[in-house]
Parts: sequence; structure tokens; C-alpha cells
Amino acid sequence: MEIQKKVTLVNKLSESERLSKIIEDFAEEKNFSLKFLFEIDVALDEILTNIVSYAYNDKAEHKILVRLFSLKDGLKIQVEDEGIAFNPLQKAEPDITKSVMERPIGGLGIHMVRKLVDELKYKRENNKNILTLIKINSST
Amino acid sequence: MKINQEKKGDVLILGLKGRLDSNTTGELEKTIVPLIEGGDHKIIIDFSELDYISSAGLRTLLLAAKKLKSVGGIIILCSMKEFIKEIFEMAGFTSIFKIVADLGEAENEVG
Repeated sequence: MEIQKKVTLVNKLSESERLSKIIEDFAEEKNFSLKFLFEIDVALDEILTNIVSYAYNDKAEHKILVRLFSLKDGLKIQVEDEGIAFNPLQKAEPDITKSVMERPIGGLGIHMVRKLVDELKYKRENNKNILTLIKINSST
Repeated sequence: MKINQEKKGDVLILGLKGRLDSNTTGELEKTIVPLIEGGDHKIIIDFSELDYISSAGLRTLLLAAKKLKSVGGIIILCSMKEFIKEIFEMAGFTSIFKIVADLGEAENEVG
């Protein structure tokens, strides 16, 4: 059976590090590689940073709901926020072959998420953004 | 995050310790930008004690590289852990930064 955990975060940048520790505990008995956990951390950090930085038009505190599902060979993670509609799957890919002076500052977060996870799904439901990511723990 | 500063001749060595993420990248920016503007144009960044990096961290490094390039300066990164180097590869940053194995090599490179 799927093991599940629900975590409520607020829109603060420091929450990424807290979530990373929660995932580490959650996945403890799964013996995922350090590389797997590090990549999950970065992907979620990028997603949370985007939400905290761009999802709200006010300065109020907002809840971000994270659901963790343990899969046989990986993790499924769902991130739900009440911010403005944003579908990261529609974001254009940056050109990462440009030279130092040509490369824009920023705009790499979603690119990193795409690279770091195996599956990424988005839906807008009840005025919420729901992003689902799946990452498989490959043996390499 | 902690940033150690060491000056060897005209070379500035910044040692990063801990996490370079959206929460801490501002600290690096506030440290490195005034140093470059103050005349430090040969910079080595020592990653040996850095445990984590996200795109927010890459952002500040790119900013520093741009500022240095525009004044004819140089930036060398060294002693990067394998999973951090992987982030650089994913972002296409291995082609815009000189990344070497250790501090000794970085010091030779910077001349």
C-alpha cells in the first residue's frame, strides 16, 4: 500500500530546507541514494521558491500543501498552492548554450525541475495550482 | 551559509560553506558585488564545504561572472562535489565557468 504524508508549509524561502528534512525522514526506510534525495530537494526548492516569489500579490502568509507518496521505486510529490494560476509546463525552455554575457540572469528554476524529475503534471482546480512530480530512484 | 574570505596577492578566495539557495544567495551577492566593484578582479570560489546549490545560487554566480567579464576579470570555481557539479551541467554552466578539481589548480589557473 502507498504510504502518504501531508505537510503544510507557509510562503517563506526557509521552508525548503525544512521540507528537505521531512522528506529525508519520510524516505528513511526506502534507502534512496543521496543523489536521489539531493535531486528531489533541489526540484522542490525550485518549485517552492517560484511559489514564494511569484504566486501572491499580497504580503500575507499563505499555506502551501505538500503531499508525499511513497512509490515502490521512488516518490510522488504533490504541491498545492492558492496563488495566481501558473503552469510551469508552459514555460519556454531557456537557451543554456549562450555565452556568459548573453545569458539572462534567472529563469532556470523550472528548467532544473524538468531535468531533475521523471514526470511533471500540472492542473488548476478550485483556484489552486496542483503540481505533481514523480521521481524514480534509478540504480545508477 | 558562511562565506570565508582570503586574499593571496591580488587573488581573492571565497570559501562557501553550507547551502547556496534562494534563502542565502542574497548574502553572496551582497559580499561579492562590492568586492568586484572595489577592484577584486581575480576570484576563486572554493566549493569544498558547499553542500547544496539551487538555481538561485547559480543566479548570483552568473551575475558575478558577468561583472568580472565586463572588467576583464576572471572567476574560477574549484573543489565541487559531484552532485553540485551535476546541477552546473544541467544548467549549462559548465561551459561558461572554469571549474577545476582543487584550490591549487585554481591558483595556477588564475596566475
